[in-house]
Amino acid sequence: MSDRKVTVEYNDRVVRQFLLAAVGWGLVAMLVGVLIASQLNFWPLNFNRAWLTFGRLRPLHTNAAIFAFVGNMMFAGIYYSTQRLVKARLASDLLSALHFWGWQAVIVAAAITLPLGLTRGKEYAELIWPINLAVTVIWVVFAVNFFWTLARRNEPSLYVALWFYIATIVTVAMLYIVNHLSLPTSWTHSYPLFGGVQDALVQWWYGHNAVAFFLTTPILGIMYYFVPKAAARPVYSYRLSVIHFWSLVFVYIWAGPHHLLNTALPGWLQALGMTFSLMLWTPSWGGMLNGLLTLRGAWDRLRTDPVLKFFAAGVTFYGMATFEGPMLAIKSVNALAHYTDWIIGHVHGGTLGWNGFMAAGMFYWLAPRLWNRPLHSPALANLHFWIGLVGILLYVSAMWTSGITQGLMLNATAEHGTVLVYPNFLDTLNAIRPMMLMRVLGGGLYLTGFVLLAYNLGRTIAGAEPVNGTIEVFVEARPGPLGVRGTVLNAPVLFSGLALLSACLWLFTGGALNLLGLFATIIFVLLAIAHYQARARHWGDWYDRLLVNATPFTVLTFVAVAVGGLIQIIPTLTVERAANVEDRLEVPYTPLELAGRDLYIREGCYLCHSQMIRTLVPDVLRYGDYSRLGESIYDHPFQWGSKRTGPDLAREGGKYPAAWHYDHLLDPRATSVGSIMPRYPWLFAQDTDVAALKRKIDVLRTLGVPYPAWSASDIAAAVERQERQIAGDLRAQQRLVAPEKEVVALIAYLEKLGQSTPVAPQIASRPGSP
Amino acid sequence: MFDRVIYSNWHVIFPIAAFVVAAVIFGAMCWRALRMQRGQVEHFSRLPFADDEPPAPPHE
Repeated sequence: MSDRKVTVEYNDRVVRQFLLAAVGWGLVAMLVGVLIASQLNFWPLNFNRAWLTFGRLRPLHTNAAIFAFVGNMMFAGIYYSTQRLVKARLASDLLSALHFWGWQAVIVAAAITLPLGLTRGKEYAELIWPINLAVTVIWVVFAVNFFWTLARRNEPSLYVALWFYIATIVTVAMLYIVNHLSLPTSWTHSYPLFGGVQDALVQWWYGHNAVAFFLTTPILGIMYYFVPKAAARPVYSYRLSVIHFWSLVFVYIWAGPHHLLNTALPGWLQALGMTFSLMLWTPSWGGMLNGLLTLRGAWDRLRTDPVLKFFAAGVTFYGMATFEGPMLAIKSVNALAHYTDWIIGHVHGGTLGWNGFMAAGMFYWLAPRLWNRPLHSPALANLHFWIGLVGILLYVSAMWTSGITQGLMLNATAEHGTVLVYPNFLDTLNAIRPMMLMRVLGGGLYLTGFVLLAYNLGRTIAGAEPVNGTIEVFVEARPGPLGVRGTVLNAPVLFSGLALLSACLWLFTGGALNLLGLFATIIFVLLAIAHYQARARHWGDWYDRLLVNATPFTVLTFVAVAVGGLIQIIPTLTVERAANVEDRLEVPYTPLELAGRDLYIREGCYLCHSQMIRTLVPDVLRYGDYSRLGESIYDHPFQWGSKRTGPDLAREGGKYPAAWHYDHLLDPRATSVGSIMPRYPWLFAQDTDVAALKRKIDVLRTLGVPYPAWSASDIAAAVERQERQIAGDLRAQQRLVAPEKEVVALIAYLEKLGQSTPVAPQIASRPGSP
Repeated sequence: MFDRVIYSNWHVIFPIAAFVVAAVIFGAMCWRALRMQRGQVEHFSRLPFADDEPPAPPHE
């Protein structure tokens, strides 16, 4: 073993940069959150400005909270802990700087484009395609910087926190790339490759696993490093952390369909999503208990140490959210909770409690060490904790009450389930107004706490000299790399692979092959057991070398997360679309209706209005026949929605005359007393972008929508015909508007909703059926 | 009402293969974790403390 002694100076400059950026963007995210929550109580706070409406700002809030606040915090924690766990400086100062400045540039681009209405119309994936490319480049920079650092490490063992970081990097890359696959129609607009149910599945495979692998796994890695450091106690059970990691990365990926329960998503996918979401409770609580029990022997310090307060509460909120989530994923519970504020409460218990409090604890722990100056005021940090905690509890309890009230009222039926007790949607809105106000108060308190944090940290670092950590290491001889041969050609992998192949032979074939498969499976399992008994050390050696070999470990982690996605997505993508539309097939939008639909997406209407009538009696009584899978098959992106602040619009077409929509968009209170919807006066002033339709329709035709090969003049003529027809209808009802205005296109779209062509349904085939 | 989707029979290979892969790897990792030597467990759980950095400056 070499006895060469080396002094390593860590790159803590980039850690300080990410920390400060996280604090700044966190305040922005929370301020926008309080604003949009206030808009739901006082609609004039939309200020009649397009760029300030709820529909434009809500994506700004979610993107800022997830990618700007938690993103920057995550990078700070990962870079600080990774360097110290591997006892090596970050591999490249250039890549570190590129990562930091590139990420901030992406955030600024998002802050500009989202209020302008430049959006892809998919939740947590709204950013337009040039910014998507930038995010991908920056993520690759991050990945190279991280894995290069691992390759240069002076500590051969990979601590469990690093496993979580590896899982984050590979999985986020996979999720982001797949859900952002699009065909551009212009520099600022694109349509996703997937449409209808396929887009719904890909979107929520991504959406839920953005929660899993952006908001959970990196913070768990941070928990496994910073909680032991803060408590001066090793993790409670390292064995449990290993089991926690592998069970989490396998199970989480399958949970996406729980966002689509009781919808037109195929039933087997809903069942998978529900089952795996329930299974997810166990590894999540394993991690929670591991984190909390790490504080054993240090509980008395919770009284005075704000860092431990934040960590203990943060991990507890993680446990709460990961119990609530599986409960909400039960189909019958979801029938009440979906589309209501309960889901919002669940989300914010996780983001404010788990992400926000872990961030605060980490910031308070890091700042004195990074600037070599004691925290300005531990008392102020303690006050932040209590204000923030009260804020979270007010927020969450308000949303629980609001959501359950909404769910009960909207689902209430009488006369043996044949009539709705509350047929007017606005009745539920009026009932939850006090809770929505309480939500503003809770969020405001939480923001106040973070303002205190910013002040406290500012006073701590003002005039202080930043310091970089150092360590002296003996460069150790490392076991040779496993390589492909070592990873694959060894007993554990070979026996597992052979047993798997035999099992497939047994399960999918008949006759002699079936028997052969059965016997082969039994033999390979017995041989594996015998080999293990005889050569246990060989199996152990392979596993031990896996623990210190980042590449094979990364590959196995990728296999683990890809498996869950593949089994859900491949069948849905390859299913014969035309044969699976049940008894209705969507009529493709006319050019004017397509323009209107893109306006609907631009204004963020899908954030308050769903287009998916669930297979539930109250939904059918309120909105009409349940939505068929085929009715949205050509929607790129899908518009099923995830929240009903307003009513579902799946069968809106034909319900109201054009004049009603005209009045409703000009002033929602004119048609719906008590509505909180913003006004949209700019739709009456701006012209519909007809020139863009040619390219849009060409792209949709490429994506499989059965449009004829229209020329630009064909499209313009069709648009003009339909515009004149709608404007004429409006004029007959004393509503005057020039035909080329955007409101005419939006009315065309709204009047189309629910139109479909009846088709002969095909019978589902089952194994063994004739 | 619930008889809603036709999928070709060959699709079923994906969930079954995925279950088997998941179960095998997860089971193997759990078995290994439970059989970890005490010394190994101690070594890994102490890794965050191996950086011998000085503590934070105390608050006056």
